[in-house]
Amino acid sequence: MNVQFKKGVLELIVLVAVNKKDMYGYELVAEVSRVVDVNEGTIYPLLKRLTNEHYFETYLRESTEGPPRKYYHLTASGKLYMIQLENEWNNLQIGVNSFLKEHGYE
Amino acid sequence: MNKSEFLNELEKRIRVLEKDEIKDILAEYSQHIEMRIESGLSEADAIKDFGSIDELTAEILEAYHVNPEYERETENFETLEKSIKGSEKRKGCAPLVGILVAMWIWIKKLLIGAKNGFKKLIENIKKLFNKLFGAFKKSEKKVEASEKTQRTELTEVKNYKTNNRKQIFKGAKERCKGEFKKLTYTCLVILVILCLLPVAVVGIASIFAFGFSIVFLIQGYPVIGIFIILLGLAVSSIAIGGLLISLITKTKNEETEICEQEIDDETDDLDEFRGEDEYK
Repeated sequence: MNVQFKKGVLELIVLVAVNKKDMYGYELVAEVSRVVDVNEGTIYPLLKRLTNEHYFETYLRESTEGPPRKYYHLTASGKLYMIQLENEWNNLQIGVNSFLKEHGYE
Repeated sequence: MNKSEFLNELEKRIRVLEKDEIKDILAEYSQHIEMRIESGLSEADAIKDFGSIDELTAEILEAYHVNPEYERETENFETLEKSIKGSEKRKGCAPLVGILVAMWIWIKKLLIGAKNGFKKLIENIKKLFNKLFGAFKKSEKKVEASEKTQRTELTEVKNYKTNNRKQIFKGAKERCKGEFKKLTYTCLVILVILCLLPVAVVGIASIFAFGFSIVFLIQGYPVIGIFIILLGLAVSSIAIGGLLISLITKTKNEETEICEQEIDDETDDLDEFRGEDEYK
């Protein structure tokens, strides 16, 4: 898949995934990988950026196996940002699809 | 690349961030790699999934709004610095180089100082000549001015003229006296500097040789005579040097006095001149 496609939509996917329930890094990567084939190298920096922009909060929680895990939680501003991105995505999707239809693709 | 290699490389590249952040990032990545291994992936494959480390670090730094190129530039600079340090250590002459550099800077300063001093000296000599000629010109002007007043006053013309001339020559003579004093002073400075140079050379050489003779004396060579001679030479050259320097500084004070005197004389002359005119 086009890397630019992935990068654009990845933010929305991550936000939506965390919105459902708090997740730790590895779990998130696994979840996202179900939708888009993406390497870990892009997801962790993205999580970092979203945390730095206060869309995510992080906390540590002990796990039964291994060291404590860092969980990501969506903040209020993160939720607003997610809704905004969702709308943008929908508009884009509708726009692009109708354009394709117009030109005989479907 | 194995896990520790990967983490070390990553740590090196994100050094620009805060320590806590680095620790946090590294912990997350190492945890991720461990989990991948647990799920049945090899260590190398788990790391391969991160993609190229350049892109990864660029993206991490971008998340902090840090220019990723910056870190690489400083890295290059540091490796360069390290290589320089290493080569210095190998040679083992870092302190020697330091001393040489310090000496070079000192000599440069000395040369610049000497250059400036020489310039000042030449300027002084120029001023001196200007003043010398200026003194004659001034007295000529005075003559002209007084002649003008004399034309209106027909009586006692000759008397006045001779008087005036006497006065003018007196002033010029006094002024010349001051200028000659200055001239002799500059000559003296040149002479002293010329004397000072061999004295300094002898002094430094004798101190140097004196050090050597101490070493030889301690080792048991019969150089007590040379030792004493060198000691005397060193001390006497220092004394002569001090004397010469004090000569210059002393005459410097005199010079300012001369200048002050000259100014006083000039004002006196002018006052006298005016007074006579009013009298007339």
